[in-house]
Amino acid sequence: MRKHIITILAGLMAFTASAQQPLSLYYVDNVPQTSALNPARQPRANGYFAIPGANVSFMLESNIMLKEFFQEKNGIWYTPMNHEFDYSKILRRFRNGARVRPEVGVSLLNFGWRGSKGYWTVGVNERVQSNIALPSAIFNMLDNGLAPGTTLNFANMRVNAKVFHEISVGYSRELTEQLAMGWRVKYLSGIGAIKTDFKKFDLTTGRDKWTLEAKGGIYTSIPNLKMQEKENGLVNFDSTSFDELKTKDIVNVLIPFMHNPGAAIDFGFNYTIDENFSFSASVTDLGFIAWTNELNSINVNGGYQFEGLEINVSDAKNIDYGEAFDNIIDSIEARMSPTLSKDVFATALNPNIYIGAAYTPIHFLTIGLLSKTTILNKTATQDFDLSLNLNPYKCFSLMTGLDYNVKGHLSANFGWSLNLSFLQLYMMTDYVPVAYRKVNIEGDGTVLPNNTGDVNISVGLNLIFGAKGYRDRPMINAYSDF
Amino acid sequence: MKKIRTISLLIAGALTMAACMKDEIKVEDTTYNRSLNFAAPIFTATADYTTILNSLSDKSQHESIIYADDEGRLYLEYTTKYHVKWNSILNIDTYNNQYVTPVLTKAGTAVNQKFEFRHKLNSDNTTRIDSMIISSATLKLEASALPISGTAIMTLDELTINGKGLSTSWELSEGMKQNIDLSGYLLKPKHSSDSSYTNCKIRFVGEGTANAMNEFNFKVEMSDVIPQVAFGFFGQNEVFNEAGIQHMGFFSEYRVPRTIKMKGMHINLNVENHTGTAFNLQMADMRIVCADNNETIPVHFLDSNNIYVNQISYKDFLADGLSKPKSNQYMLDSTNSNADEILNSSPLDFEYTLKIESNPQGEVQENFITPETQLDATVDIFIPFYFSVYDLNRCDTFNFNFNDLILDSDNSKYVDKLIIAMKFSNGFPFSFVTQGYLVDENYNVVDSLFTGQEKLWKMPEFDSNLRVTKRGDLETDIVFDSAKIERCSKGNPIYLILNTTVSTQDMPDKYFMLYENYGLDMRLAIELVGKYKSE
Repeated sequence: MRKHIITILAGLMAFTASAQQPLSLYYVDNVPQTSALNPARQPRANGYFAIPGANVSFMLESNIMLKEFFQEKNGIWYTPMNHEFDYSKILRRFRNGARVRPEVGVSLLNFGWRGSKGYWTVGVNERVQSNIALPSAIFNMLDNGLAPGTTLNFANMRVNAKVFHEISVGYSRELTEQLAMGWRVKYLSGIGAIKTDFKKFDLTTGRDKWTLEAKGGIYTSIPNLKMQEKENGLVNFDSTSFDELKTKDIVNVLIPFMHNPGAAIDFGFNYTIDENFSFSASVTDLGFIAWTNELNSINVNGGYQFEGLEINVSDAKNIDYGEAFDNIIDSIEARMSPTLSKDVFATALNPNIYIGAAYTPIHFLTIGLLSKTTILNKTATQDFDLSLNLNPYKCFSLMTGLDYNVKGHLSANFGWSLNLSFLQLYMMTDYVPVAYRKVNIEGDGTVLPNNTGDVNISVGLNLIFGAKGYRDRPMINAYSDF
Repeated sequence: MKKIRTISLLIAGALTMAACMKDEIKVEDTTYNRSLNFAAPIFTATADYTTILNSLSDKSQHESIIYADDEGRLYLEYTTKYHVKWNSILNIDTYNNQYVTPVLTKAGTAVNQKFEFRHKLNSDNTTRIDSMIISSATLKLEASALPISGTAIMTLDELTINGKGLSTSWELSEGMKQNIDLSGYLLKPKHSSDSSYTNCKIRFVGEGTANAMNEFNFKVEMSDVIPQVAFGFFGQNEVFNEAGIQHMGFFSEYRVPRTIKMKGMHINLNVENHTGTAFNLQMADMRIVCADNNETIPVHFLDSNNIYVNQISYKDFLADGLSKPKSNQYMLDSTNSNADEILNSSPLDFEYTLKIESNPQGEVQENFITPETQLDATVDIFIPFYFSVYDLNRCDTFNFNFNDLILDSDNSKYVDKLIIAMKFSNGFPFSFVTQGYLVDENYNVVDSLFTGQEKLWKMPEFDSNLRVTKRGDLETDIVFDSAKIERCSKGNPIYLILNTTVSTQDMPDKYFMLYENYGLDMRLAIELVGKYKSE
């Protein structure tokens, strides 16, 4: 049954996602989802309704870049398998771990309308945020093996994932003809989460001893996960099990209740300097979830030294290596003292900060410059985006641009929307690779993106009402002149 | 339309300019040849004295019992105990006699006849029993019938209870058969020059009923006599004479090489006398049978091998019971015997004859005996682990397929250097040097572990009593460089021959005691330096 639930959730995520919208959507006013990036920005429609099941959005962000896995030296290309490969270059990038960050969202209900004074939006979403990092120690091991004196840091190994409900209400209002302000408040209710937080997790190798030191914990709030303690108070890992899900459990998973509560806020503004220039900024997903239910947290704090199998020479012929290995495991467990607790913990969302400027030389063309900062655990990602946004016809919009990520890759953004009467179809994508390489490995060649392997794509279907103009003024006054 | 075209071209141009094809990455060599560096401890081992001793034996199970004294000194002890009980010291010749006497009867004629039978109680002529309080005994009497109308009366005046002598009577015409319980009776025999005896008196009173020459049969037996206490002089007798063999299993289980010299063995004969009789003990015909060749070596004891133990007095016995026996011992050691010689001959059996004689000095004091009192003699062989080792050399061959165990032959080419790191912390009072040879199936030496004999166990530090005060720590690396690895890879050694030499300090003059807490800690680690090279 648990598998069925996961399948249902995954299916919903795949069909109606709205969580992490592409950058390319920021200046595309005629797609209502633009307000997700800046709640002050009002779509060019008096109202809209996002059709559930017809919006797909998926983002995969990573600090792993293809080109860094090939190094040239004196005209010869080397892979990480070769001893000429210099790991220090990629280790600098992976000092906080080799990160992969998939995010998806499920829009169950999303609509908005222009009121008498402002623009209202309502959303009910299911969201998944995750941040997974391989420890840099893996690359250290590949680089140097396990030479004596090597200290491998596994503390940057990270799994931080959460699934939660989001109910939001947003409002945007033009305070003056130049300044529009907007906010969106979100009530969050967690479904499940897992979070690792290790202050220390070092393995030091040597001839005389191997030392393992760890301090930290794994915090979970997973429905129906049961864990128990042994008589000595340590975690009984063998007892880990899932209770069979019952109908009420499924209802609890799918319908937001007051357990695992959280809140977040989006806010922003848009300042129109004159008819050609505007400036805007926003903060989204500033909030957290407090996990209070179905808690199972494992904390470790200790150190273990392995100085070899302990043998009494008199009994050397009767050594049971299986038993000896079990004893080592038992010793590690005893020294690390993994204890079980029901401690409440919190997970922050990944807040985004957008700062943008737009230049509209002609009424159907907007040139946008946008900065996006996403704050992650102990690190951040930074993108700069330059875009051309065209509205040549009322039925068709087009955008293209370039994105520069400070980790060193340049990519293209691309998107379009097609309005067929009140039906709107759109597709926006970020991180389209602009540089490719043919990678030829011992005769087998294939063309691959040079830099980025990131993906952020959104395809959707909306019902647009009143797209021809604002309630009190025309939406676009120059289509006829185009 | 012109504007549309212009803008479209601008967009297409921007995309075209943005997208480009970088130089081809052409990877010719996908060989995996990264570092194989690895270092890890493999095991820590501890060895105690049993490990050292077991190295001298082929057996996996050992029966020898090794003891430690209060200071932790280790020793072997083999003990044989002998007990001489009261009935070996005092032999009472119980009655078991049958007397036949003719009796002439005439009908109607009165009969008045007396008989007297003497019963000797001492089984040997030197024993004299002065008195005895009987704890338990049964007097069995049987008399035949006679043609006499009247009674017979039997009296034993030497057996009294409450001051009255033992007396019984029966009808002569019917005969008699009866058992008399003698518990509590006081026996005070009469004495002659060679015996302690009792007189049994029988008198017939009656009238004959037939004319006949009759036989009067009288049987008397005193059985199951246990004295509560007996006094007298119990003779000069050999109360014990038995061959003894003490098997010393240690030397059959552990083949102690001749290069290990031991000393300090002593053989004790301890005696504790709880009786009221003095004794002389003698261990005669002492000899050792060697484990090596079953050769017999006589034990030369320079002192007298007799030991006298006095008796306890009855007064002391009443006061102290069995708690204060008279005791004596003699010790056979290197000062008065060839003990060191026999100890270093791998003694297997200690053979002897133990003889015990009572009252060796004659009648000096009245003897007494009770059922609880006995003589206890103990033959105790004490062998301390006190030794000196002079170049004890061992050569052991182990199955050791180097290429299979250490480096798979296919992978050996990836290893530039292999270090087997050993660290010994030696608490035993000897050093250990070794050389190992890796040999092929024909025992041709492929390579050696070291350039020469390498010391692995460093001599510890000692106090003035030659007791270890600080362990000797030593780290030794066995380095297999690429050249040695290649030799081993090609030579395919399958055996490891370890040639080791063990010596104590300043041998052979100094001897060292083995203590219970002596031990050895060993750590073994490996370090590998190399590059993995995939094909």
